[in-house]
Amino acid sequence: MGFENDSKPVPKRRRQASDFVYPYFEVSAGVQRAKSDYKTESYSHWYHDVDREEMIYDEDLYYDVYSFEGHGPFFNSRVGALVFRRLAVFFDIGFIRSAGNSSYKYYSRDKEEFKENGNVVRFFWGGGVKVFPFVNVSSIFDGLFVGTALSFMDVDNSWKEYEMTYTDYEFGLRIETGNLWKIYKHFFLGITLNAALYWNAAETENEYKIAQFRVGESPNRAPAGGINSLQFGAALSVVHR
Amino acid sequence: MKFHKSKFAVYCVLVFLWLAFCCTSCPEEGSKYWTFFCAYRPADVDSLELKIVYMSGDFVWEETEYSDRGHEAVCVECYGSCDDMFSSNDDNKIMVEISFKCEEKMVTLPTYVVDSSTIRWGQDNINFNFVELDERKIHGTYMVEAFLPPEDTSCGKFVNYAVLRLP
Repeated sequence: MGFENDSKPVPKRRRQASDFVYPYFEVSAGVQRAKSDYKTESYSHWYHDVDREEMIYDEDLYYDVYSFEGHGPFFNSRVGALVFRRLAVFFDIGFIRSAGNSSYKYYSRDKEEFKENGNVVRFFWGGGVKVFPFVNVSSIFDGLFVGTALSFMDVDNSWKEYEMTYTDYEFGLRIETGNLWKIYKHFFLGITLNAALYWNAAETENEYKIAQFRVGESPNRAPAGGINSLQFGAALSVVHR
Repeated sequence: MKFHKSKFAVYCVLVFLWLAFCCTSCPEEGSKYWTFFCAYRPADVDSLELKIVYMSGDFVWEETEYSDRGHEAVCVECYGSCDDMFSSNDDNKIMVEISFKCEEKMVTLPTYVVDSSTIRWGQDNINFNFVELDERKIHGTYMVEAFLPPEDTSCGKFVNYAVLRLP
């Protein structure tokens, strides 16, 4: 009689969200190359040539012409969830600190250019996804991933020196790829290659058109061109998933 | 009470006529003509004088304002009087005369005449600012109409002293 109970099939447990959603943590540190360019298209297109003491009309006139190029450490941390062991969805926060050279001109036609060595620290925050397409495949691609993140990045701190006030932050896209290797239980160590593009996030171009006429204030106009900041680099990543 | 279709149509026509009468007979509110001129004193100049001469037919009227080191700009505004003056005559002209003073030397800039042929006289405001053109310091929308460098360069060359017209 006792055998009857043992032969009964075990009822199937209902699947729960925790069966296919796992916590995801990631910390990355590495080196990045950073480049940024800004210039504002002249509104009046009249240039005051101080040497010749005359006004020159120039359709291709720009002011607040600034550029920076440097490299330095990069750090970011991510918190999110891993779905079906293949898709990580995360919040992203980090910073990049670059040492390099900046140059600034009041107007594009100016001969005088200010050059300086300095450090630029820029924080970024946002969210993104990372895909692991070859999970449970015993191949060299087992830990391969590709990812993307959208984030805001605060402005170049060198701007204040030149009284540039384009915006409070930039908006950008970060793309990355790399590989992870399992080191202990849920911990993975990997290499990440990434590149990021950022552009001006504020619609100052629209704001100034309705602004009242004032003299003595920086007009806060948007920089010309689409992409203002470009970054690329490599990092060592530790992932818990 | 029944409201017949024909009576309703007559009622609509009467309301329409009443509204049309009101719209045509209502007086326009506010001044039709409004002028505003501001001159900004360059940093190298001790004081600035802004004189506006209004001419409407045979009628001539002028107003002068001064700016010393304590003031960055002086402005002259005219709405009620200008409205009466310009409304009664089609031949209107405004002349702007600016003088700089530095170390007891008075330098006069070329007279700027607001050209009535280029200004659409009507509800539009006539709004001009006179300032050294450095667009890194100027906020807002404007059009550069002319530059007024003085012939006498005792106070400076001021080749960028511009006439900016505001829309």
